[in-house]
Amino acid sequence: MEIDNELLISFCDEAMDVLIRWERICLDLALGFNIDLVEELFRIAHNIKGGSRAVQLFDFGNYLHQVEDVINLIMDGKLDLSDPIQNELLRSQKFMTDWVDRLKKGNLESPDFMKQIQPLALIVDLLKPATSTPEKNQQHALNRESLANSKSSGTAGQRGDLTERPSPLSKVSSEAKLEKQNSNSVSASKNSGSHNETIRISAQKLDHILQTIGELSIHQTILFHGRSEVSATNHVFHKSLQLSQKLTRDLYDKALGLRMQPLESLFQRLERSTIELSRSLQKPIQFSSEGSEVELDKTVVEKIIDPLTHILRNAIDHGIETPEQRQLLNKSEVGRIEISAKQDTFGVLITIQDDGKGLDHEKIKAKAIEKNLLKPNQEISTKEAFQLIFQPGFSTAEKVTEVSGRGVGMDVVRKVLEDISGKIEIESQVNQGTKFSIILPTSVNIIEGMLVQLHGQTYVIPISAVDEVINVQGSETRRIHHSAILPIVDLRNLLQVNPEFRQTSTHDEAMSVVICLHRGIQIGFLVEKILGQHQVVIRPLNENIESSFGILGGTILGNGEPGLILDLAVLSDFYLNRTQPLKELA
Amino acid sequence: MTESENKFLVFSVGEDLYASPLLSIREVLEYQIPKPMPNMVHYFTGVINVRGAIVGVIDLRTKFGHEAKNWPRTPFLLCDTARGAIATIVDSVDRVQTFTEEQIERHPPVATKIEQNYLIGVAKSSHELITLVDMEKLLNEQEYKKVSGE
Repeated sequence: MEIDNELLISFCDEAMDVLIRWERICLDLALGFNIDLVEELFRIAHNIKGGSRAVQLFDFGNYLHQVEDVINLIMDGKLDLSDPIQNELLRSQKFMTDWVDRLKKGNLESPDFMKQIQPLALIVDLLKPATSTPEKNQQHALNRESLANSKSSGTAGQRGDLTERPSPLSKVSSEAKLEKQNSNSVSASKNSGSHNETIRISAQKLDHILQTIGELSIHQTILFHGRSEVSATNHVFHKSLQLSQKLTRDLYDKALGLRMQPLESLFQRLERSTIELSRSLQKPIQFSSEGSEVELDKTVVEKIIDPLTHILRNAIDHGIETPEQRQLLNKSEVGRIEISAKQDTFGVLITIQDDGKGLDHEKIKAKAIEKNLLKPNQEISTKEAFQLIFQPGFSTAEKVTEVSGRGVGMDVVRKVLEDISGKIEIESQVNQGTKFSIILPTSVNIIEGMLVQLHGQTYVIPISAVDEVINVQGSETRRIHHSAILPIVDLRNLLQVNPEFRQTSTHDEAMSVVICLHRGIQIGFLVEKILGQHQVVIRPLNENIESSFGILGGTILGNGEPGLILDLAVLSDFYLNRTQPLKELA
Repeated sequence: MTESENKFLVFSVGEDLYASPLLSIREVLEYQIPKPMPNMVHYFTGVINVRGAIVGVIDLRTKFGHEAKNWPRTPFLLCDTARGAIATIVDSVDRVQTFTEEQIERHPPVATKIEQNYLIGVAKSSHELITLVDMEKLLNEQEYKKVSGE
């Protein structure tokens, strides 16, 4: 099949856009029937159909034709927009999204769309003969066979009476006219969706610009640091240097902003999962969200989809009780899920809150003891108990269900979030509900770093890895800290450099110890000096040096020198493994 | 071989002259003090900032068995390899020279200080012998991490 690649790509991009709108419409329709929305859905289907045929994706067009037929029946009032039909529409959205995804990756093979069409075709076939004379029998057959779960066979019959009603689109006689209407309405909906006009740029081009601006800002910093060497009386120079410093910073911030995207699509996705899950579990749920306009780096958004979906599914599956249980507890039968996002100076706070049964910390403790994650008589606070659910191999669900508990546990959730320097916290009250708070940096590439000195050089330790900092004498190799023995490891021994760089220091010198908590053990790392705290931009290292021991990445320091970011987790592991034999002897 | 493939950048390391295909060298950098990188082989001097990218530095003097001098202000050759750019320290950059196929002895009988697998050959130019080094192979084959246990 020969298709112009440019055309195909633009078809895919446009289809993706309208399919997101499609999902939104389906979600809104779940709240109540609205003929305008159904009509919009029809126009979208019609548009994609046209577009797909233009790029010779005839299978895609044929599939959409069938979907169009179903929507047509709904518009004509011949088919009730029951839950199963809504599910079918959502499922076809997913099916098409996956299809377009594959096309985008260059896979032009059609998926097995016949299988997907079947339920739709069945609906249409059953209803089509009824166009002239609606027959109750057929309605019943329909309800029995393809809409097994439909709870509204009555209304379907009622709707049958509406056949005479002129179809909203029946006045549109020519295809051309319809087409025109389409283009108008789609552009209108685009405008109402986002307040600004947007253009599409390849992520690669954007990254190139970002990289260049990154370089520019580094040189700006170097210039700025060198300003003291220029005659202090040269006011024009100093002023313009200061201004260009400000402008570069502005430019850099704005450029970083280009990669930001609002959380809207993520929230819509969560809303969809909620509706689908609430239907399949027979738990009515009211979903509300706030702050979908908050923006996060594209990479961060992509990374948090799975963890957030997992938390949400857990909340619905295990958190929210069945309507019967809720009635007994004097709660509203309808469960509540609230999702919110808020931006502050440290990053973005996303919360997922349910009003379900809450976490029972006694139960968690019992489970943890059973799983050997806790000693039987160990006293822990409620907060600590909640943290236990993030341990690998921990799951409070009494039985593994299809919904949650498919191997992806809360430990994975925490791991993924930590990978992007995020944090997760839990608040919960029995029978009141649970609230998960996720704190994320606005961009993955920037971390808060502690600058330390080793061998007279500056290294960076991510603040997230630091538990505590204490001052010691250089000669100490261990000390009692919080009534436990804290081993002190000289980082200079783990990170050896060529002799010409080595600096000897007297053992009695005052030095600092950075304490990190690793696998539940506190380990102190001796450094020569703490130089300060700074936000640093992580720069990937070339492949030929990236796997160096204990190094997480690099950065360019304020003075223009390269700085290495230390991976304390790896260094801790190394230390623990090395000292194992000693422990066994003791 | 086309004209450009025959062009070599001639540089000196210690007393000896070396040359590498011009195309394998991206640019000649001004000297900057490398920042040490821990637990690397001894000829891996450290890392430098090349317009915002962090690039490793190999000292060809120690690598080729010459004596390491302490930070004379010599140039760096920035080379592209399949695993990213890397800079090499040499004593001086001499000139760009074209060698004809006749000038290049592919299998020199004399032992050179460098290993066979990245040796292109030896070129004769007036009274000098110039060792031709395949920079890309040389830099790509290296594992710069020190073997643990040292």
